[in-house]
Amino acid sequence: MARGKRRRFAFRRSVHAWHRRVGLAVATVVAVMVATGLPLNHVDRLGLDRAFVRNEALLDWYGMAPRDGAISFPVGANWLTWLQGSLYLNDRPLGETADAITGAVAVDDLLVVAAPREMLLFTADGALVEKLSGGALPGEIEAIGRAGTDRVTVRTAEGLYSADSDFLEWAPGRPPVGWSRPRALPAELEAAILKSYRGAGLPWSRVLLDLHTGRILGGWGPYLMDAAALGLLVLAATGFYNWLGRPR
Amino acid sequence: MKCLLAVCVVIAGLALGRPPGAVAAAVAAEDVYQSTAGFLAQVFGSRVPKPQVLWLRGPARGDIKEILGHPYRGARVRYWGRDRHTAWILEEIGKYKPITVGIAINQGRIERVEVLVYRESHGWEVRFPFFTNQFKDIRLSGRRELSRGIDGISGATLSVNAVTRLATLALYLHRRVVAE
Repeated sequence: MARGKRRRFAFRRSVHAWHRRVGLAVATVVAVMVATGLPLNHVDRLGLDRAFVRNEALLDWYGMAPRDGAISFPVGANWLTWLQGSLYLNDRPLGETADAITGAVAVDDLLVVAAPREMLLFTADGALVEKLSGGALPGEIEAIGRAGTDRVTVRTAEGLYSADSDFLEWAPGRPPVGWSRPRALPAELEAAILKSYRGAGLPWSRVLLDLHTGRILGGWGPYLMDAAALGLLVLAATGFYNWLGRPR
Repeated sequence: MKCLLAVCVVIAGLALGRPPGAVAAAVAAEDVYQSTAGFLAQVFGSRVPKPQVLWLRGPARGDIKEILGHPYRGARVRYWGRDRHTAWILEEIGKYKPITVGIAINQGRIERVEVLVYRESHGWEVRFPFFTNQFKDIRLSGRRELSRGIDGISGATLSVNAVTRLATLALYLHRRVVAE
């Protein structure tokens, strides 16, 4: 009888000890889960899906660097830059994308950006006028430039074509043409564009969600959170057992 | 304490693991069903008129925003027209990628709707005649509504909505061209 009582006592002490250990072990992870879970429940109200990360270290951790370098063209007094599909006028995103870029020219009040399979017309301050593609172009654009008469001229596999002033029709073009060629962007502008590119890429809601699920630590992160969740279950069970055995 | 130490070691190990990585953009295939030139030849025959542009100014921009549910990207729209017969090549995003649609309008009624380029991974059924034929003879009712309802396609709701919005937009633009 006395031996059975001693065993029960030893078991209860052991449960007490494990309750403390498990509690200590999962405390940090559970604190992270709670601290991230609460704002995640109110993402819309807090605007966390519209607020973007600007912390360089965190952006690096997410691999938010563009795969390819920026390609820039001088257009009048400004710079037109293509970076990972996005277009920038100086350091301002134009809100339009292109799969690639072959050149950019300024003519009259228009800024003309050419990609192999499309052409984008912007006003001088960067508002989109029209996007030309398919039958609106004379072919796949290899280069864009300005002919002596200030007409926009493109080079395709079939030859040179010049647009009318409204870009509605194309007629065979003639050299000489001042072709648009990429130039090295001033370092300050390049840094500003890179910052803008990265700044608009990673919302805080994504970081919080990755912290909450453990994915911010990579493939094994969710298992850590699973372990913490199981630890909570153990805490609940051992806590209940301890409460049952408490002297009343 | 040993247990706690072990957890710390595991956390440190995981911290050196791979980051979640950048979000990669899914690249959907582009299915070209018909060229612009082919569509215009179907609409106008061998005498395709020269392209013209309709500038979107004043209240037209607000009306178009109501039709599309978002502002139109661009200050002008290209069209081909002769008498009261017009053709429009318009684009609208289904879910992620734009769908290019050719719409021909004759005397204020839709004559033909053709999906020219489809870039989404789902919902390509909107290109089939069983869907596009529904638009035939539809006109604009009131200021910005189709005179008849369009039956949806299960699994292609967003593409159906996009094509329907474009048909409404083409009728609206046609009305403006005729009025001008």
